[in-house]
Amino acid sequence: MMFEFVTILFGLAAVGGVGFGVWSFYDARNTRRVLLEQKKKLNNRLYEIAVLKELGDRIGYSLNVGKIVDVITGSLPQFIKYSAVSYLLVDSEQSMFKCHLEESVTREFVTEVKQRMVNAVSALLGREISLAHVEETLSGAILVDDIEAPVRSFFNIPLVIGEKPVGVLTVASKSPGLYQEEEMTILYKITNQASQAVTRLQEVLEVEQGKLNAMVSSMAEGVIMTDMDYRIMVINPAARRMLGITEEQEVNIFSIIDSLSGKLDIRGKLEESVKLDKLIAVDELVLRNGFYQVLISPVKGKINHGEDEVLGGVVLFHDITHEKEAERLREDFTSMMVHELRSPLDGIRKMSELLRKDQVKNDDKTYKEFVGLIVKNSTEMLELVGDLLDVAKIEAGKFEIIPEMTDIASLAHERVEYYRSVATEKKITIGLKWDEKLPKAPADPRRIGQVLNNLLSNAVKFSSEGGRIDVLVFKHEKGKDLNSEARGRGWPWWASASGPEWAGRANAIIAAVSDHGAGISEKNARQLFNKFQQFEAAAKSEQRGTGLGLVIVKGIVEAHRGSVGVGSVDGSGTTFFFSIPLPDNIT
Amino acid sequence: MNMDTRTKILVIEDEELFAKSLGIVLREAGMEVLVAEDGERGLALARTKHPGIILLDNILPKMLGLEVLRKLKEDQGTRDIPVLMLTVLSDSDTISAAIAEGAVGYLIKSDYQLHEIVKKVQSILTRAYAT
Repeated sequence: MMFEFVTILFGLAAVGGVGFGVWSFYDARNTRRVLLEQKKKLNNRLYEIAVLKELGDRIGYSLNVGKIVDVITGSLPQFIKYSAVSYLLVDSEQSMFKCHLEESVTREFVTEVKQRMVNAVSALLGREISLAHVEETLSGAILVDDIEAPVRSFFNIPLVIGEKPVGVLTVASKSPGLYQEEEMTILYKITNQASQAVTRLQEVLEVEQGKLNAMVSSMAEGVIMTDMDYRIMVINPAARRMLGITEEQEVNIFSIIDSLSGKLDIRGKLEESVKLDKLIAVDELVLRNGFYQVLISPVKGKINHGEDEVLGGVVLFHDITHEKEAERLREDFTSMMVHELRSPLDGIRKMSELLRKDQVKNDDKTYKEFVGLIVKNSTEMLELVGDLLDVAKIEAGKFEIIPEMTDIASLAHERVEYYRSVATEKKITIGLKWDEKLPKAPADPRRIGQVLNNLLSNAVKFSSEGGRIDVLVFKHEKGKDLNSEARGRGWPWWASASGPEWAGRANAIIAAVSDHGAGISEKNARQLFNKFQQFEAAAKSEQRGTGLGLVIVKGIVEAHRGSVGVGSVDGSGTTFFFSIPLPDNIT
Repeated sequence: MNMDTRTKILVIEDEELFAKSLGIVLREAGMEVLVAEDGERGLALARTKHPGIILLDNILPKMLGLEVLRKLKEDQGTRDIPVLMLTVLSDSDTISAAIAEGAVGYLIKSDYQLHEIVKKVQSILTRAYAT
């Protein structure tokens, strides 16, 4: 805007300068007339520029068409003579007629101007505007009755915003023949320029508003904005969902009060926030579908270059259900861990109390049984403490492995042999299948042994008597599908690791433990590697144990840059597997 | 109430060491001790063996102690048996829930030596079956 004014000023100075230079050679009379005309032109031009500049300044912060027209009409007396300048702005609900009198006229004069304007707007809009729905404001000189002065000079300038007529600007006078085309043109130009500026600004604002709306709509937080009268200006889909208000439902402050009734005095909090200009935080609000943190804040903005004013309030609902759930799981986990450690420790102490008694000491059978139990329990506790330390290291990202070129198949063989005796007790068969000529892989044998231990011990634990477990070790070729690789060998493979996360992988050694049990649901399978979920499941299961085993399996395998997976076929069995990537130079 | 009932105690506890140790000292004190390793078995024994008192651990496989307690109190045949809750933690929620459900008291295991537990059991029995 500023740039345009500067350009116009330069243009004007140039025209003026040339003009004076040329005209000085003509006769005085002629020169005087020309000079007067020139002066008038210059005045008009200056007027035009001054008004445009002021408009430019104002449009910067106001989109109110009425205010823009006020600027134009307010400056008019220095430019032309008139009795009344008025504008009529038409809105879908309320039309506004504003008339400023420069000199006294009769009521009939004003009514006539108004009627002419209504006619003009009706013609512009192509629909009838009723005089009854027009709000009238008069200012300036007073109305009188005793002068006979109808409208003798008159012209209309349409007000168009964004190619849409919104009203007319009218200049009227009691004196006849006042307005030449020149005045009309200038006023038209000014109005037009102002309209265009408003239009452009409105477009920018609409785009910005659109962006803002899209942003608020897509926000995960629930957002509600109200004006000073608690009318709902904005409510986003998240807020509707949280409050249980459907998209189709009409929202007002009462429906929001209703849905929060007994939980949060939203009206009171908004009032407190807006009136005292303060931010209110509600740390925990329990709605039917979760936990929320609520922030209530005044919305402030500058109006008319003034101080910040409170325009309304905003309520922000932040969903903390997930955090709450995690917190609960953490607390449960801690208390269960304390139980798991404290309970056997207390048992050991109680047994030791008894071992001091002579009758127990002298009863060889009981003595051996007690000592055996103490050894068993303290071993289990030691394992648990070891597991907890491993998990802590994994979570802190400080889990270290010492890799060496390891034959995973013989490691698997060793572990299978170790578990065979336990399995035989439950009449469970363990089979081992592996590729001939399997390359060695960079792995920490102690840790991968621990992984195989965990998988095998789980498989034995969850297999029923007379069941079968198969341990598989094979080489995965980059780009190939694990499922077809395993099934192609005719091996029991129940996982469905065909997704891109497996297909694109580098060559790797895959080790798997397949059981032939009932299988597990996909949802449960996914949670198996999560510390807290696992722990909760373990606490409810009739099998003893903390469920930390799989969490550690995942941690160890990932420390080798490998991946873990699990899959199940209903009624056939479950396969747990992991990969140890091979370096590029090993084929 | 006959002598048989008054000296019969049911310990519902999955912690083997604790159950065994307690069993020995209670038997020494002249009581008949029944042990159940999980809630379901405990409930079944309570219904069929009519113990004079039940020691009930809360964290049990299959069914939590509080749930066992609720079922005991719902059943005409078992509702009058005094139940002493055993906990390892000073878990105030469990304790107040147990009292609300009708447990006669609670006992934080590690706070007591075996002979103290026997004394506590005896005093509950005396109070419950005083004529």
